[in-house]
Amino acid sequence: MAETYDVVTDVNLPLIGEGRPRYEARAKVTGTARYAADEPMPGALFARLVTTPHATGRVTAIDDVAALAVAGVRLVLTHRNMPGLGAAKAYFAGGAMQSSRDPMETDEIAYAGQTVGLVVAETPEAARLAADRLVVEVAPSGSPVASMHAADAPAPELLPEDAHVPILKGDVEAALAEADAVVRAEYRTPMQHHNPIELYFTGAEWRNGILTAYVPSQWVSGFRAGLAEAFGVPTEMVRVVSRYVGGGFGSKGTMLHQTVLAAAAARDLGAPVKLYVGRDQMFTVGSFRGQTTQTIAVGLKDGRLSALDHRQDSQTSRFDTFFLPGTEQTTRMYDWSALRGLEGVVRTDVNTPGFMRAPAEVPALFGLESAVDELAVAAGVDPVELRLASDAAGGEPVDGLPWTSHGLAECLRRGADAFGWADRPAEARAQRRGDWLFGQGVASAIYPTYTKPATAEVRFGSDLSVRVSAAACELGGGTYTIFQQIAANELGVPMESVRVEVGSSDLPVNGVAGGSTQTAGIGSAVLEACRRVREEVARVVTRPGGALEGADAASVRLTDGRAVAGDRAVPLREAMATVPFGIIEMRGQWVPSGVALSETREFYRSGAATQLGFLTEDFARAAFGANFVEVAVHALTGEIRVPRMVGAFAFGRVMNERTARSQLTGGMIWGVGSVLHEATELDHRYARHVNSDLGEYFMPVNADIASVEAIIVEEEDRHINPLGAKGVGELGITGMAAAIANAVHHATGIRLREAPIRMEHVLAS
Amino acid sequence: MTPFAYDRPRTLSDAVAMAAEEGAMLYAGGTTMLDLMKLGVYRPKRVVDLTFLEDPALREIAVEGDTLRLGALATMSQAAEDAAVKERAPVLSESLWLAATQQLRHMATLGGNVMQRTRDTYFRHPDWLELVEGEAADVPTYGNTPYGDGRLTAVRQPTRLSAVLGTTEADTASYPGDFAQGLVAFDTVVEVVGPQGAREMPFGDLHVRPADKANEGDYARLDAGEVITGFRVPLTPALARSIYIKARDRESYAFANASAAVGLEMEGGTVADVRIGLGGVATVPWRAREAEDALRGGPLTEETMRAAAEAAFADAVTHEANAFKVPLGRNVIVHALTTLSKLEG
Repeated sequence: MAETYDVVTDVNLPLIGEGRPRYEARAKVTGTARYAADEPMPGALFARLVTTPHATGRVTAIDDVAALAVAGVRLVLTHRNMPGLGAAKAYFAGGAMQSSRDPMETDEIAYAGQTVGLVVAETPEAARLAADRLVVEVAPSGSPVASMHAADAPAPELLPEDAHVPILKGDVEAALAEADAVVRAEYRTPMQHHNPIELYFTGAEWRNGILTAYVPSQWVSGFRAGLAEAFGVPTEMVRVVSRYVGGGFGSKGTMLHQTVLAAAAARDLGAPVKLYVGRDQMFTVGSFRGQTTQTIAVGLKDGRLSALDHRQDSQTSRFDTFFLPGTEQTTRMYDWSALRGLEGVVRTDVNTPGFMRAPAEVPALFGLESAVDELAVAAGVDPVELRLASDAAGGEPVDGLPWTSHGLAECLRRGADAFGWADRPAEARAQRRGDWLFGQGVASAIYPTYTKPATAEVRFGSDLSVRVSAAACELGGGTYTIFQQIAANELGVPMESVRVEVGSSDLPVNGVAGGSTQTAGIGSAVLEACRRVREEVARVVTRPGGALEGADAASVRLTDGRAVAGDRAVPLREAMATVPFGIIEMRGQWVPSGVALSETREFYRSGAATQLGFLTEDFARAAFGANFVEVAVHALTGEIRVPRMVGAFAFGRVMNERTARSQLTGGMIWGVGSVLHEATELDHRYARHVNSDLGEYFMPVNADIASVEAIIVEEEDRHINPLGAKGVGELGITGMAAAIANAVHHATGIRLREAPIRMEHVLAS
Repeated sequence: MTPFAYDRPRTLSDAVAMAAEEGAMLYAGGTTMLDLMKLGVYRPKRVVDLTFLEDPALREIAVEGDTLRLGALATMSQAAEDAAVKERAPVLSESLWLAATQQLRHMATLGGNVMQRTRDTYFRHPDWLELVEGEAADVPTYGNTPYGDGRLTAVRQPTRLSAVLGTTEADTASYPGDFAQGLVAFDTVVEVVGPQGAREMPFGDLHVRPADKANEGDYARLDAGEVITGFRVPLTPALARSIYIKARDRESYAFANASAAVGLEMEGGTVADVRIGLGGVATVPWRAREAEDALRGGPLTEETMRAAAEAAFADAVTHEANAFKVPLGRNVIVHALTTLSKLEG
């Protein structure tokens, strides 16, 4: 049953909310914000992971004599003495773990950099020295392949229908055959590893049978479930704390094995353990964006995009089938009359890939939006005009569902105006200034709006102070601030009176802070809890003897410290003085339309419930945008720089203009790095990385980012959720790779179909 | 990191005495050294910190007659900002500005800078040795590194970073620095003090080319206990009209994919003097003498610049991953010469 919300009058907030500074801004800039590794843990021991350089083989011998001889060493754990733990399930099997594989379970090595040991000592230095001295001998086997693009990589496997149902509409072959112009091309995207400033860390402490884990997490409820499962203890005997996350982006959305290891060591040693993961180890013990190959044919008929045949092949590990179906997005971008979306995987000797900001969209849109640009060039039409002519605002292209709202065309127009697209010459390689060739490119952006059940609690005291709490996560996106804004607005109190508590699994259960769902989803639960507080206030003040006796309780609003009904009002302090115990505590829960309440029964224990994406029974849902980029390419060196980028985005109600803009510009900036800089490179002989440090794994520095403008397009969405808000965290990056590649083509006449795009590719062409 | 003793000598003679002890290494800012110690590449028994030495000449930058003298303990930022360096030797200032970050430039010293090691992954991560068949049970060490038994050269293969000049089949690790290209191009002399007293040598002799290595751990022609105290750069018209061009993957804080330290003196339409040092493309700080010879005494035209650039890379040995360094390096030379030809001077 479709729900409709009157999001403008029901929520007393503007469609583009005030850009309030971050709730935690002062704490962060003064260094008092407490990240996981900052939590005081008196008496803690220090742990260090030991990894192997071998990609495949078996551990044949372990010599821990030298390691144990280091002064202060307390424990050396390897597969030989690992305590038996419960099997914590991978998230794709309903658990919380990043991968199905416990690297310390057997003697088998499945990828280079796999964890083969853990050393615990009284100081970090001793742990490090002992880790260096632990000898783990491996008998290598086979010929490992860590790249799906390597000559000896296994063949792609088309996924069976129980894993992915092909997306089909019409006869795509016929539509391509009838097209006026067709582009068929293959695009490749690289392996990229998470390198947030905050490294992976786990602080584990057992006290009175209760495990407390301080771990940077985007999903404290899920991590709690995973740890309870691994150690066979009741859910409430585990507490996961992550007050701030110093860069999540998917890297901390699922639990990594070393968190279990640290907790196991702490239990066995009877002392708190702090495990710091080194920067080089971030490249092998964590999550990453796997490689993809995008095989695309697009057709143009009568000036419109008519047909899409898109197959995405994704890199996965030997032991897990991980893929993110980017064809779900590309098939819904334009008004295709015929389409086909297929998904395949290639199994390689790597750890299981995972989520990285807009994980399905970044690779798939690099393919689609490059191909559309190629088609525009081939057909001699303007790339913005071609996109506008192919707009799918009239209905979602695959199943024909109406969109809850659809802002692509407006974003293309607004972005083009702001960027000055009209001044762009149609010809490539037509703008040279000094030694630099300039070019401009465009790409559409899309991010589906995910919704999942959420819970929150609100406590309203007689002094009008408010506490909002939820097992949400502050990833830097503004969670604290936005919850504060919602509560202050709904309860009619100043923001300064609202305290927000997130980042602990002791708070009301929630799903992973992934898929750009927190603000809209948990925010809707916060709103619901606040409304229930308001209803209780209304009940109290309108009951016989109450200050607003006789007024319609449903009409009571809380504003400016007063309860107001029509032309009558009472100060909230007076109203609250009549409430038993001087406090109202309410729980809010939000179950999105399309999810049955019965689907939430495992929510408490697992931290997860059904998540809906693009489609409900009634609607298609997505946020849209348009990225415009100018690049400069040095005529002699092939160096590529990005002097200017403009993005326009429509994503429903904007809760906080400042934090939303920051999300968007952050995504655009990462997009520059994602297509020009970032790639984990391999020594194919050994299936091992050759640039696993920040000296050689590049990302943009300040000097790389000049002018960045994010335009927020007002959008009223009455169907998406009570707030009318869509996710924004991942939208900004989605179109960037293709926009830049298209601009490089416009500057140089060179079409580059494999990312990262670097000087050697320009020089070679 | 292996535990080590730490010394803070105040006089050069003390420093030399301490540095001569077995297993000692010199610390002159630590911006590379500490990384390498954490990675297990450097395993000093004793770290002799030179940054507390009291002799002011070690930190001075001064013009002495027709020579620019740079004390070895002057920081990169100090040298980059020095008025005499900027005016008389712009290539040196620019090469320092374009290296690292301001924080690193404040810490790093000139003497330490020229001694920085390759960014080659096989060098920086000793666990690559474990992948070589017939692994030795004990890791032998050489010159405070774990290398010396041939396994490093056995495991190494060229990467995108690797050198194309001055390589051997087994050793393609590139020299990563920027400052040294200017020093090598302009006939700099290195001052050294050691247990046997003071000596000096041409800067071009400081680093050992792979083909000249008796042992894979060889790096610089310094004996145990020897300390670099300064650099003397002859002041020439070409040095006054010089430039550093650095091509890299991002705008700042990146090592060169290819760089050129170039100076030019014209007499009318004729090249009176030209100096070309190359970075990012060679195993050691590289002087492109063939390119200089091709230009000296002739006109400076697009054609002669191209020919010189060709000559600079005539002996280049490339691999798939680093083949781009040849066209890139040639273009960087042309870019630098073209820019200089347009400068007053």
